[in-house]
Amino acid sequence: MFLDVKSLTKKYKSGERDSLALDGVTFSADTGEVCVIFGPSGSGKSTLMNIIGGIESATSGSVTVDGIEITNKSSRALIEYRRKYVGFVFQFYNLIPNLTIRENIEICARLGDDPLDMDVLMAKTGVKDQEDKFPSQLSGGQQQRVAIARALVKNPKILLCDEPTGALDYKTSKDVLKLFEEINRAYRVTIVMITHNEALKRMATRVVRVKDGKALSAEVNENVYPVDQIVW
Amino acid sequence: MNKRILRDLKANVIKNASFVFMIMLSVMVIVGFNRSMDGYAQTARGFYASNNVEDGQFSVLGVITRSQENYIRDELGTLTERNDSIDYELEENRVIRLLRANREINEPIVTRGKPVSSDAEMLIDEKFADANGYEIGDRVEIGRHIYTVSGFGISPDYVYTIRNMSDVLNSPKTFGVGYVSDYLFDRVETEKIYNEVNSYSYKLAEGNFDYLFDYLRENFELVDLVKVEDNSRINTIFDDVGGPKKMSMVMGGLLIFIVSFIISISTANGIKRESQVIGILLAQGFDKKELVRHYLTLPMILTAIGSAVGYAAGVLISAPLINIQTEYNVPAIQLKDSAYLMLIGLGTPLIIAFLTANVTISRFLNKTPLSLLRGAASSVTVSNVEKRFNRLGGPFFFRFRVKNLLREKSGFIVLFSGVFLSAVLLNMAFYIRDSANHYITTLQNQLPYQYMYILKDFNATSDFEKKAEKTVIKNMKLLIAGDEKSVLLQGLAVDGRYYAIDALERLDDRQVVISTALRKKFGVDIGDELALFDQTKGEEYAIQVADVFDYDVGQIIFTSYSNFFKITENPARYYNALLADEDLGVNENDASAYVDKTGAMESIDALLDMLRVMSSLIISVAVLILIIVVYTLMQLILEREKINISMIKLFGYRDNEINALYTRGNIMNVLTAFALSLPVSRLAAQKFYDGIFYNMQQYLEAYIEKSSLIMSFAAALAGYFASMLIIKRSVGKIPFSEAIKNRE
Ligand SMILES: Nc1ncnc2c1ncn2[C@@H]1O[C@H](COP(=O)(O)OP(=O)(O)OP(=O)(O)O)[C@@H](O)[C@H]1O
Ligand SMILES: [Mg+2]
Repeated sequence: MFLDVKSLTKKYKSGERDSLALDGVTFSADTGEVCVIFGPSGSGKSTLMNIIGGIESATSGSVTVDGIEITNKSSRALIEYRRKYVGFVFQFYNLIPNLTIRENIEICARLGDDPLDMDVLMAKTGVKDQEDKFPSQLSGGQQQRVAIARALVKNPKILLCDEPTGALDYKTSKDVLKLFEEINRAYRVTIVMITHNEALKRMATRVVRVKDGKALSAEVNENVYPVDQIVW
Repeated sequence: MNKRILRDLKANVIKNASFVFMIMLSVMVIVGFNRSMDGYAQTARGFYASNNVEDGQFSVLGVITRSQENYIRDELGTLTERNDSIDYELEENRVIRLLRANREINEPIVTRGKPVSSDAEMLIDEKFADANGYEIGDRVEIGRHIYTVSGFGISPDYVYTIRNMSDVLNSPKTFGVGYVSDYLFDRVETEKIYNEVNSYSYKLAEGNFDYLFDYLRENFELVDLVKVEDNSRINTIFDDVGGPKKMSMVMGGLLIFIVSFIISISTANGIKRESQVIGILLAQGFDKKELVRHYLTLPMILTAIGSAVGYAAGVLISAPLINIQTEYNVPAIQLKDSAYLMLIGLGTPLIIAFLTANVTISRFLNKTPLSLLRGAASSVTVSNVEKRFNRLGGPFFFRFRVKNLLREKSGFIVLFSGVFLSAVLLNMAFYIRDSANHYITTLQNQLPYQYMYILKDFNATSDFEKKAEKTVIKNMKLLIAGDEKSVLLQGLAVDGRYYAIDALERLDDRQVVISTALRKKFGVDIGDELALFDQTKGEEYAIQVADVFDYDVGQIIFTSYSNFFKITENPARYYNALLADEDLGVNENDASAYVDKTGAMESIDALLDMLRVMSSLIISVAVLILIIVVYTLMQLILEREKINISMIKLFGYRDNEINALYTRGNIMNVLTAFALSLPVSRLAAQKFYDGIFYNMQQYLEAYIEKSSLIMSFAAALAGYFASMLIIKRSVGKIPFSEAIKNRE
């Protein structure tokens, strides 16, 4: 399996008491899959994703990505891992405000060994016309497209998306999700996406349900729908 | 709200502590130097007032009789008193000058021990005693007499104890003064004190200088006149304390400005971070003034603490700082607190901090609540400069760096000023040291004689004709832009062997050749028509500069021997000075001025030791300022860019790459500031020396060695990289949570 999460636990020390954000999560996904994670607020979704992304450490258990075990790596090695393997997309885009759209993408293009062509990518994500604008001049949907292009440009093996449509309206959300669909198809990149939207399980090849830090289920969706046909 | 301020204080202990430290440092420098130098000057001034300092002194051909003295006193309201002095040579080439202890003008003060109470007792100047190991109670053999040292003391006219009034530096090891009873002068050495030319001090009680001057001109030939303000023995002390005062004011003041700006940038950062909260408060109708007051509190508290501690520290260091003036014989220094220093030390930082913070805060709070609510990210506007720059293209990383600089304009300017200030200090420290060094070399190379004597008896020059070159020298005032500058007018034999001035032969009647020192110091040049003022005659003479002679150590106007008398409109020719390669053995009491090249160079060497200590001190302070300014500013910039940095870190940028992007561009800033500081520090060093030599005929040119430039540059770079090293650790510590945090 491309992504293997095994008995992953994460304890946070908050004051006197420890809180268990993850309590033995196990699931896996193949290369090129779209893996959607559901769960109520506070169930540990972001924590799980941050550990997979190499920006948070695990308390026990293991995560393997493309054969590399990342849970025992030094922070220096984790930088190299993130650099080569991981693309991040967040709910609030988090573009760098004083860089133009093109530069926001360019800054990540320098990280990959084999980056994608910026112009092709910008055309594909539909931000080519905005390349010389600044983030504050773009709508939320447009900014999220830029964020996706930025995450993708270094040609990562895995794209981690934490509620990427959380701040967008119906139509814009749909456009963004279609973009994910296209990208997944075009570049064979594995996508792990957190969402609150139950309807989106239909676009996923794999659905993981988390509650109280535990993976309740991790099932393969045999019947994947194109985003176009999903309504909510 | 108050709790929040306390929390802010605690949360950023290091940052706030460095703000307080810098304010403290600036106030301490200002208060410390000014308090000690003021104390020094005030003590001297008080001493002068209580001990009846002269208003001037003059020399005349002949003697003022008792009845003439009475007339001047009763009719002209001016007290005159003979300046009787006898020089004795002691072993090891030392000279002690004995003066009357019993005087009406320039009364000596006893600083330790007892006054002279018998003919066998002597009051001696403390610097000379220290340098030569004399203690109170010691018996000292002088000439044919043996004196017991009854105490240490000094009179106002020898506070700067130099042998000739034209000497630049004192030399306590080889020259000192003592005060003895009238017996020596009136009974033993009467023949020694009555010369052809006699010197008198005067004190204008109800009198007026013009009456005295007219009377003297009518009845005597005035040979020399030195008003108290031109008397280097009395007045150099005031010029000398002025340098550290001015320097500390400028440096401390600039530093306060820089720190205030840094603090206000930090305040602005804080406000930006809380812009959403502020937006909500304002939208709910919260009073803007109250918010301004809230954000002002922390900077004001920091500044208040800094200046209070700085003031206290300044008071504390002002006592030891007295010791930077080692040259003068003064009574124990009384340090007093003055209202103006309290105002400057405690008030100015608060005012500057208030103004700068107020501007920053108000500018920010004047935005609409809506734009504040949208948060920091959306309120970013892109300047036109930046837009234009975007179109230029160029390598991405370069553009990224420049953009950061543009974006951090205020920080950039403050960083620049901070580096500039410390670079000026740094270079000045080297300039001050090297200039003195250079002066010795120049003196060695350019002073053409080994010995120079100005004789009291004009005719006596003929006695030494064979071994020396005769010349004529007169003190003059050069009138420039309404100011009187002390210069020497020197008449030289056209074929003289000491000064090789070719132009002498070709001079027209009123033409002169000026030294390069004069040209550099006063900006006069070939072709200029100038006026000389002769104080002894009260007359002005016109001269024209025909040429410049390479002579950097003195303000001398050279002319031919015959021209000298044409210029001074004096039909009677005379010589009064001798230039020689060997010691002519002129009796100490026959010369009114005496220069011994070797001795002069040795005393500068002693000064150099002091300057070396001083310049190392300045260098350390400069580097410290540089480190603190660069560190705090970079820290602030990093704080502001925290989210972005966290973001690109998350993408997989390495710490050193991030450093390169966000901090390394500042090296250009440092290089530019350093380059620009060079001419400024040169000017400052020149002003420093011009201030000290204001009343003297000497000139010291600001000079720096190439090796010192390199060292100074290295020190600046070392300071920069030291702070970068600390900053690098801060970059490593920025957490990812900054990037993932929701930005609503
Ligand atoms: N840095 C932290 N320190 C302490 N506790 C934390 C930290 N981060 C998360 N937690 C706790 O861990 C648990 C899981 O948090 P997490 O952010 O993973 O939830 P989530 O499923 O992403 O929720 P949401 O849907 O609201 O984003 C929560 O109880 C949270 O309070
Ligand atoms: Mg979450």
